[in-house]
Amino acid sequence: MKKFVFILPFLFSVFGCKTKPPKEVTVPEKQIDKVNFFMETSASMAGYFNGPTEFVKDIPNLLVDIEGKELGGKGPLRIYYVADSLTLYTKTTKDFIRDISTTRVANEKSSEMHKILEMIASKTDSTDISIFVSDCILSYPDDVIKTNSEINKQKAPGELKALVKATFLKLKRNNISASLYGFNSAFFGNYYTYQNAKIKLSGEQRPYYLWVIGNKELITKFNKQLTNVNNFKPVIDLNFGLFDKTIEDYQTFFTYEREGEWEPKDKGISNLKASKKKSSSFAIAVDLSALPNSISTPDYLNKHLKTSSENLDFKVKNILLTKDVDKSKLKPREKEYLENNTHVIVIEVTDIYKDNAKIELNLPLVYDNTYKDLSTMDDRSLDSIPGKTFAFEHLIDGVREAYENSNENFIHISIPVKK
Amino acid sequence: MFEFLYELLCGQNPDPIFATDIYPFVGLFTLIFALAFAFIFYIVLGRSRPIWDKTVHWVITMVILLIIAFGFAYNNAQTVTEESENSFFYKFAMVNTLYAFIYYVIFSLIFKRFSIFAKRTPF
Amino acid sequence: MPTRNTFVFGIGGTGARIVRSLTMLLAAGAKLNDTNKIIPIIIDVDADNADTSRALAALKTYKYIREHGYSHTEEIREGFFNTNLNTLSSITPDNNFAEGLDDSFQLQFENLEKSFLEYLDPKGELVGDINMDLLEALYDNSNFDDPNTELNLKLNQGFKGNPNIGSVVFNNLSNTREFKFVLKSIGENDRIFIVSSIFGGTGSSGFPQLVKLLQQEEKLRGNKYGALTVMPYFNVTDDNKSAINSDLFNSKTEAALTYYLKYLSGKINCFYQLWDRPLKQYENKQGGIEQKNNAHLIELIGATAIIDFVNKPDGSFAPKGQTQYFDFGIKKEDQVIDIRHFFPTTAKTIMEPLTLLTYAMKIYLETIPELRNEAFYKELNLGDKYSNSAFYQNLTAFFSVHYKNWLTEMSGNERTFQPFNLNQDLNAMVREKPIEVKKILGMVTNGGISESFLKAELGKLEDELKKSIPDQDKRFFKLLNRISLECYKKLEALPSMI
Repeated sequence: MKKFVFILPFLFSVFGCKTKPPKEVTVPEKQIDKVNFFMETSASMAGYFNGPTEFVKDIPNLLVDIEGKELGGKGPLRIYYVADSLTLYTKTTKDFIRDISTTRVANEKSSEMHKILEMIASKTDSTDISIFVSDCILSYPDDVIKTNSEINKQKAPGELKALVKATFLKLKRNNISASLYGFNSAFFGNYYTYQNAKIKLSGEQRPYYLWVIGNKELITKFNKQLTNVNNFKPVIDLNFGLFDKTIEDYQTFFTYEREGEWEPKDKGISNLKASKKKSSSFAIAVDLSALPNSISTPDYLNKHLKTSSENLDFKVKNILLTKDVDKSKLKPREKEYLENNTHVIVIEVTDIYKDNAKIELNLPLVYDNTYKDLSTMDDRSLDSIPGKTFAFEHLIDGVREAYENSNENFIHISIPVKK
Repeated sequence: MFEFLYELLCGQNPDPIFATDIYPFVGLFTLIFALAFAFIFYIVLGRSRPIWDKTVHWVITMVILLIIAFGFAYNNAQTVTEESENSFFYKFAMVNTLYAFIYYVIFSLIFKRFSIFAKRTPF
Repeated sequence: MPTRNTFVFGIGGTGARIVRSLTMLLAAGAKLNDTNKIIPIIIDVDADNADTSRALAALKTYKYIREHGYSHTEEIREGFFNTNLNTLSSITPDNNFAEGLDDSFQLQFENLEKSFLEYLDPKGELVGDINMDLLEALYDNSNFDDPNTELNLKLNQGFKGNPNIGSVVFNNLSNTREFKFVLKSIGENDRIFIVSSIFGGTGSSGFPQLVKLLQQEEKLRGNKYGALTVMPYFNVTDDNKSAINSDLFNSKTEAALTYYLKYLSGKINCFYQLWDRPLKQYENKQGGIEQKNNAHLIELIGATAIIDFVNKPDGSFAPKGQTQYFDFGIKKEDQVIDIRHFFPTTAKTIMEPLTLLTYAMKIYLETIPELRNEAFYKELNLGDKYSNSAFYQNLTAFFSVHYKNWLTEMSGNERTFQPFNLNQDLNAMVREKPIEVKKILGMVTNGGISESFLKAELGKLEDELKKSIPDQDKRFFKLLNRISLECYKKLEALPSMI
């Protein structure tokens, strides 16, 4: 009977062992440590603050929605005024909201956009998100315009754009990406043309912009959560630096949308039986968070996703967002797929001819150029101002070029299929 | 090799993790447990003292092994697939118990000739 | 390969009993040096003598066991039954004389169903002859019809304490085919030992006759001769119907000793003498199957004399013509003798082997049959063999009948020899040295020779021996030897007194 004592520890170790067999080590996810908020306070911004503008309504709401929530990081927002230098705002966010509604804050000298962006970048740690509110007007300093009143128009496509590009190249090297959101707001006050002439506006709609700058991974997270914020409805949203590598990875669901006979094997499918009478279906999950929002809508994908195949016939049955997937149909491990991916593609195979076949899904890389509609190179007359920003297209071109990559496709997924 | 054994009796499970993770792990460790139990019975105990060497002891050892085999298989399937309950787990655990029995008998036949006191157990 | 044989002649009842004791000692494994065979030859005209038949049965069983317990190729130096105790016919003679010879340890006399008178005068020619008068003068036939008078004694029942008759008949021994074969078989280096009692009939007359007959042969005069005469150590109860009268033992002893001194001096190299104060009275049986005297310590000691003689190195004998005399002593005179009473040499060479054999006996008879379920039991197929195999039946007979009875008889005799407690467990087996069972806090740490000890040892030994001895019976035999050695280790040492 002494020998039973010897058996017991054995039993405990087996039954008590709840650890899974070793999986790949996952890098812990980066968390947002703090959010910096930079408000441009050059004189050209004053018109947004005056009177009943969307600006004074939306900005405070945004601040309140960010601070204290997960996307706001661990502590309160760090608020700065930025013009030709950074001024840390030492009071609370509530005080700030009151200040911008009541006092004159925007009366500083203007500064060059690229310099401001550099200052902001220097304040952004790798665990930070920095939000910058600006009117994004590219311009030389006042004294330079005095010597040449056309210099903005002449040099915007050249030097100004190059300066922006250089700034963002530096950011890219530090793994910093950027998103840009555009909104419209009523503007009461002086508008400075490219020649630095004043034009008075009384409530015309002018765009203002929100830069979101930070580490690539954090930006993706932040952006996802921004879309959940109430009333966050930008008229334009652009991503820079989030997409740098063609998406090739996918995960195959083993029960969701499963029809017909097949076995998952490594990444692909094997032992697939399919015929016109009896087809087989399977679903894959993909992470398209790096794609610009306009590209990653199911509609766009359905229209533009190119399919090709070797030795089999198939079609894309459905494309849906992971948040729209009916979780009750999933096995617990499949639910994990939803956490790391954004879209689910359901594929139906209608015939397979040979033992070794392939399914290919391609989404060619295209740039969304709608931002050019928001740009103007001549803002001297009143009717050319509303809804447009001077030299916006060059600003965006500069940023885009800094982050450009040579990928041909957004998505290139290749699924091996065996009979 | 273990995938073949389990799929033979359990049938294919749509979740590929059975074939990639669960079957090899459970299969290997069940084999090792059976080998260890037979080894301990015949060689470690069976060569030192004639205390735990008769047929009844062999049967008790086997029963313990089978209980472990069942529990281990069920537990592992549950843990790895993250599902709480599934009739397939019971089937898998029963099949694993059967294989544990077979391994134990085979190892018994191999080891008994090296034993001293258990040389004629169970026959 | 030693070549020296020793021929042991056991004359009469005492001779037979001492040969029986010798068989037991050799069965226990007492070692003989430089010796090839021991050929015991029991000479008793009393063909039905129970002592003789017992001795013969023991010898026969010994021979069988030795033949089947050891393989023919191995040289057997130690262990139970290691000595080659064998029959006369096992000697390969130079001629074909062995043909037709019984494979027996006994030398048979012819023509012994007659009376003495008929023996002397088979055709009845002497009636009325002057020689008849002589006979009647020498031998008592006072009552013509009394079968107990000397001339009327039926010879096939021994000489009933009458050496005067025995001597005449013994002389004719030399005419037997068997005796002639004996003479031819004894080699130049072989030794000869004669055991007899001095007070009996057959023994006392036969001993000097035998010496004379042997030394008549020229080639046998150079051999080494040893003799043991046992002087009275028991009495018989009075019985008028019996021709044996123990009152006459002493007078006969004196007569015999005188004769020996005169006629045997110088002819024997080593003369061993034994006696003990007679304490016991035996039943007065005249011979036949009822003359069954229980084994006595003296006989055991007598057997040690034979062993001593056999083991003497060639160079240790006195020069020819001189006789060395030997007797035997124990440490203390007690009513009950056990191992402690013997001096170290005897303890080592005799008592230790007996202890081993007794362990083996108890284990064979009592322990092993209870271990039916053990692996070694099954591996050796003991279940079947204990019942059906001739070898095992011989072993069982040897242990339960021959050896056990021999020990039991000695422990019931006077002077009692009881070295072992046969009815107690193995830990208490050796008298005056029980093996202690050691405990700590109620848990047994050393159980001595317990069942679990034996189970474990038997298992291990069987496993070890399996590699070297594939034959089951021979392996079992070796196993018995080995397990007794393991038991002895537990005993650590024999009991002793300062």
